[in-house]
Amino acid sequence: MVRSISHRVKGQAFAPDFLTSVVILGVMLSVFLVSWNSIVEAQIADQSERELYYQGERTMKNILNSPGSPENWNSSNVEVLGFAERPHILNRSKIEEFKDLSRSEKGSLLGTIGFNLKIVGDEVIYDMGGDPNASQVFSFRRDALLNRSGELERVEVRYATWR
Amino acid sequence: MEMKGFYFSMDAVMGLMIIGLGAGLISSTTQISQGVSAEDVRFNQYSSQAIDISYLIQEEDFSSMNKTYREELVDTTALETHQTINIARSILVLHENSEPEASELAENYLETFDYSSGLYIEGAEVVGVNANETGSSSFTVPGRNESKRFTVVVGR
Repeated sequence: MVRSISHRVKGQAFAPDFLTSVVILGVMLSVFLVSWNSIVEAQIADQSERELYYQGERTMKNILNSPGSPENWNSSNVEVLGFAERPHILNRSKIEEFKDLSRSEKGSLLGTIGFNLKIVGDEVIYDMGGDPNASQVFSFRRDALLNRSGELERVEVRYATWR
Repeated sequence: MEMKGFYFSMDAVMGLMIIGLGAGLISSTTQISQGVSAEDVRFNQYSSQAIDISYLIQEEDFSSMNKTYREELVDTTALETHQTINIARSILVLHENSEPEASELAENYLETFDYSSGLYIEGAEVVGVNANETGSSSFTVPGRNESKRFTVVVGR
């Protein structure tokens, strides 16, 4: 008699505890997994956005401040893009050499498929690349000088990148 | 009594677990790096313009403004034609001679850029800028006796 009462009490204590803990654990795990997935997805999207932005920023810096590689590159041997003779003074012939490249070659040098590069002054307009057709587009605008046979002309350099 | 104690412990443990999980999630969410914020973009634009002005002001002459303006300054101030090789040099000559036209010239030049910009020479205000968010860039310009530090501040 004593043994059977003791057995019943054990079972009553175990079953509700076990079921409750399983339910709670299940809810907690579900909440955790759903939250975790959404957090990871958001983080990947943010990371991708930051990479696109900072890559665009680096591209602008290189265009304005670096002569590229090799230093006197042309459309047949360019390895690294840069238009500068001196920081912020752009070499016109390098821009025209770049303009002569195919769309994929330009994209390869800029490190992106989606881009538009405009160099606009009072006397000149260079427009290279396509029109933005993505939900995520970053635009950059800088001021520089274009060397036109020794005469410096103020130009706006506008670069848009997307993916 | 033993059972009461047992349930109480379970409740406490489960409660602590739930609170811990919630706190962990909130903490991890807030620490996750954000994408590119509007504030980042604005600061980058201001800093970029400050850098652009720093380079251009040392290269551009009066052709970026009204050319007759240079003749007016040469006629009416201590500025001489050979000192108008670039805007930065011209401003410094006027500033060293305590000519009020230094501020005027700097202001006219800075107005050719997009955002509000200010200029300081060795910390002294030549053109002020009233802005909450700013980016800045510094460079030196050879002066009469020694080089002077120019600081361009851009903001809105």
